[in-house]
Amino acid sequence: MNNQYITKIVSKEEDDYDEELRFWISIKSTNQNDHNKVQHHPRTMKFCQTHSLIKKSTIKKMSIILIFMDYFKYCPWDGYRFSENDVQCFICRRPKYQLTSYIQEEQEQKKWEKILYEKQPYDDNYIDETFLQSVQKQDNTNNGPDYKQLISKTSDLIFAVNCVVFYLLSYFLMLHDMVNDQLQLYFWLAAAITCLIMFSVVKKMKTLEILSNFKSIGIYISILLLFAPVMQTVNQTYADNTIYVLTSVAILIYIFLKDYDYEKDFTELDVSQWASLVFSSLLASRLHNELQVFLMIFASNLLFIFVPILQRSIKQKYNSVFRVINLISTIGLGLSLLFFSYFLALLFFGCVFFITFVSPLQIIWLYQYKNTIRGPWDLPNVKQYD
Amino acid sequence: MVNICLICDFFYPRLGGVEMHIFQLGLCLMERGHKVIIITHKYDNRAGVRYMTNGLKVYYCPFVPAHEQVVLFTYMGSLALLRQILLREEIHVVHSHAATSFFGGELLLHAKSLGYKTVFTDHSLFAFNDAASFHVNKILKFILSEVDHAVSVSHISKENLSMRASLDPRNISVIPNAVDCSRFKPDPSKRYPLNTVNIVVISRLTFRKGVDLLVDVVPTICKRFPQVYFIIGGDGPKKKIIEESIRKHGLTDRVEMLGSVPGHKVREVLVRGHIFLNTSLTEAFCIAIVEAASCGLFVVSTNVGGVVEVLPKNMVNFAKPDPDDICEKLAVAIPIAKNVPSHQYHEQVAKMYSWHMVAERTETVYNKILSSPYPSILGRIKACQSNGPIFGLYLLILLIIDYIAIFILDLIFPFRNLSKPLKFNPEYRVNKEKFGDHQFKVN
Repeated sequence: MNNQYITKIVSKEEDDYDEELRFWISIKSTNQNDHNKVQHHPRTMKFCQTHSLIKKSTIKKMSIILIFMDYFKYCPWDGYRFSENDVQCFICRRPKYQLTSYIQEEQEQKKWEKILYEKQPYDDNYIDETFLQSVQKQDNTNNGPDYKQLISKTSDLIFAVNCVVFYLLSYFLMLHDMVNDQLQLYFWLAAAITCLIMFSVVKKMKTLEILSNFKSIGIYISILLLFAPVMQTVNQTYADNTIYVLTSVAILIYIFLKDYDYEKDFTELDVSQWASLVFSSLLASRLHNELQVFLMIFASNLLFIFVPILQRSIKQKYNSVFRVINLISTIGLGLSLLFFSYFLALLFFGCVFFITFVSPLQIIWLYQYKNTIRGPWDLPNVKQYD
Repeated sequence: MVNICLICDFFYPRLGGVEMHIFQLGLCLMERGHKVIIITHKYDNRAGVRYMTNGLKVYYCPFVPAHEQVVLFTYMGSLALLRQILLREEIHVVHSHAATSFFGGELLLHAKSLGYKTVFTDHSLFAFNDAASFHVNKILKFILSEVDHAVSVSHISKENLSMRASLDPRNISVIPNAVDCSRFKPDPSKRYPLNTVNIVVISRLTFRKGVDLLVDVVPTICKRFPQVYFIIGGDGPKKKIIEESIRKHGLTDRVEMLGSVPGHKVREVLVRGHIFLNTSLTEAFCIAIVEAASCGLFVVSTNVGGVVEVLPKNMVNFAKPDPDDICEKLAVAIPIAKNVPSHQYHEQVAKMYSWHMVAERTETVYNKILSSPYPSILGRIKACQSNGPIFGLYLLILLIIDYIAIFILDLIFPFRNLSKPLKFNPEYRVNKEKFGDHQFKVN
């Protein structure tokens, strides 16, 4: 094929079809008036070579006809019909005489990666679709804790309140000399001994341990007896009103900050236990004689410091017994308060009712506002050494 | 040329990541032709106006730090002084750093009332579930309700900041920290002791830096690999725990405790090792690992926070914050530790992080906000209200007081009566000998 009419447009595939195209392109770009320079179509040439009987004049005619037929009427990719002045297909944008070419797709911009060590061809404030996908929001769609479970958990709180009320009741009796001092003494000693027996039974202690416990209690009682006069005089100068206010505050601290989960080891006194010591010593200063002071402090230590230890071991094994004791003590206290004033009994029952039935409802209501956001910035759970 | 004011509670003579960031950013911005001043509170014996390298002007303002080097947040106490400084230096942009620096936050609010553009950079990550985080986030939300643009040091930090302060993420740019690589050149000949694989740990020994993990990892690795030698630098409340653990396992000849390492000696310690171990529990952007990579050490780190985005995979091994996982990844790293291409790492890191790049990207932020419109007072009132119905009213009162105070200050100390500041001769940077500053280069 004569190369002087081949233009520089080259398509990618190397086919016979391309050769044909090149031929057609070359023909179209030349001056159409110059018929003498028309080349023979390669296929016709081949045809003629194979079929040598056809005359050369017919070959010439065939090629001329093919030229003027305007081979490229429709785009083979999408069927777009070329008009006369069209240079390229409107839809696929291929040139009219280069329909075998591949469309060169736009060079894809490099994907944004969440890295800092390379400068990426994006703005510094570019936002990807992965933005904030590592954040887990826990909206607590479940209804929160079970109502009945919460009610059963309030028994701890009721027990603490009962202890306080019982203590205050016995203090009141002592203050107004309604009950004999000796009776109170026997009562509290008996209570202490029963507590100790229960403790040893539940913990299955051996005789040696029980005896050593008795010994330590004996030492403790003697120390208290020694310090009773001191305790009486410590807060005597305070006015009555001060005593009542401080006592109420200390009782509130005791109830609110008490360790209901029994996590601590009982080797150190908690804030709540210090508060119990505080209010017992405050109240003891109003009493009349040393025996009463000793009794009140002994009672407070027993109720607020030693009974929780007992309570923990009982709760682990005899949970229902504990609940029954709770219930009986609540009712008994309420009824005994009736002797003194209706208002107090009402208040007591009202408190118990509120704590047991109304506050769980409040917790369940609050759960709808619980909103924890967790993400890659949270500190992981790591075992801590102290 | 933009006149920039950088504000933070934390600056020289206190040494740390934030302080370094501010200093280097100031220097590089000055090299690009802007004017930079820095405002902090006074340190012991360091008060008043000081000039640092190349004429970087630092105002050590007479406010006493209340707790952990942070000035007490009194809304009106700093207005008059700040106004005077900003007016006489003819500032255009006020840039505050660090979320726990309330001095910066307070001055950011005043700068908004005085009519300057504000930018805030966040350097740390905060969770949402702590009691401390609630309060810090609320205050941050208040301070950043009107900031023009925010900058964070990593992509996770950007997400964190946008959630904490309720900012539009299009207004937060990610500009990572950088490291001065010329100060952290590798030197494999300095690896000491010889014939062992040395693992270096340098951090403040606190809970947040994962010292509890380290206590578990050191004995396990020492037992498993007899050729390992640990070098632990740094001081803190948890130092005793590591010492106890070392004594308990009898590893005194395999672990070296260096105590507190001063800033200029860090490179000497780093260069002694083959592997750098980072066990921190939360990090926005860990500069320590970049320094270590620049010194040619292979890094093994926990995959928390923004650490994952900092270095490419061939330089780091990531582990979960679990002692077993860290031991596994160290076990993979120890055999290859001696063949690490230190100089190649250094060159790679030098290309990745440089302060000039940080300054350039910060400059684009400044140019962007300088062309944005100033908000009207009504716009600011609406922004106040967005903090909540009741808190918003309170903030509104503060805003009004602010404007009234500025008005009164304008009457008492008008602009034309302010003294002009001294200008540091910019020729100094170009020709130091002319001013008598001779540089002797001894390698």
